[in-house]
Amino acid sequence: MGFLEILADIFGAILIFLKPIVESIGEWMVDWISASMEFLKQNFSSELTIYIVIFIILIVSGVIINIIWPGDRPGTIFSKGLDKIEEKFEEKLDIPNDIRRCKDCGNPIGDSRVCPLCGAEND
Amino acid sequence: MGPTINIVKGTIFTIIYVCFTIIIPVVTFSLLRGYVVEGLPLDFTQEDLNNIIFWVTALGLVISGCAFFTHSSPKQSIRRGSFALIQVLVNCLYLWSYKFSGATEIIFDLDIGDNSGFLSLNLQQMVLVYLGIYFLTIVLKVYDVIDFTINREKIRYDRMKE
Repeated sequence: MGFLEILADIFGAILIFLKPIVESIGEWMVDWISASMEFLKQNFSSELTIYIVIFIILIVSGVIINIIWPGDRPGTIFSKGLDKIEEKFEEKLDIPNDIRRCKDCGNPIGDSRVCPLCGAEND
Repeated sequence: MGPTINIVKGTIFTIIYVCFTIIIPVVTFSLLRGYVVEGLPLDFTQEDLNNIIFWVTALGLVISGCAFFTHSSPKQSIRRGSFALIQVLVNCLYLWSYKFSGATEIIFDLDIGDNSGFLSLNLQQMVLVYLGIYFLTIVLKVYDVIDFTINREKIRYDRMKE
């Protein structure tokens, strides 16, 4: 009990010493909070919809931002998408470029000597 | 940590905040409505109750949304610091909404035999002390945002190294 009394006295002394600072901080806190609440009461006190919308926006944007920038490595969703596109692009590029084409019209003729489109002879 | 873990963490904290800032206070106030202490009904009108429930739900939703954003963000990130600061500021409004709704002043009407009167219990001072402590939290959150911004590169480097 004696120890608790000493502790209470110390805290009391600290609070009395800090009273002028704490009071002014308290007044400032009350001022801005009152002003904010008054603003909310005048403009957004009719229905909950706006707050529900804010809640949903925060959740959805939080999910999206975490998927894109998880924090421990560069973004996932866009970089993965980009990788897939690059892979597909590379696959397309794997198509051999040595297909024989007609000298006159440029139509692919394969192994045939005569172009099926224009009839030109290709040696 | 990957995005899935971040989102799960955020979801858990959102559920906790929804419980503590919306469900428990609303249930408590609803129960308090019909509560009678030693035969003395609490002076608590329907308007007061609706007012309390509205602001508790409205600001509770914003706090819970901010909590999701804060706790799903990576450690020491600027977005975590910023939303933690916003959450603390909204929490101040949340606490103050109790005062505006009349919940910090509980009046007991006394009517014993020929004598009548009332007993008023003012909890406003308690809320003010709590807000005073909360000011320190605001200062700490502002410091965090500044710290995370200044040391951004180092924090990122350390995080990637982990």
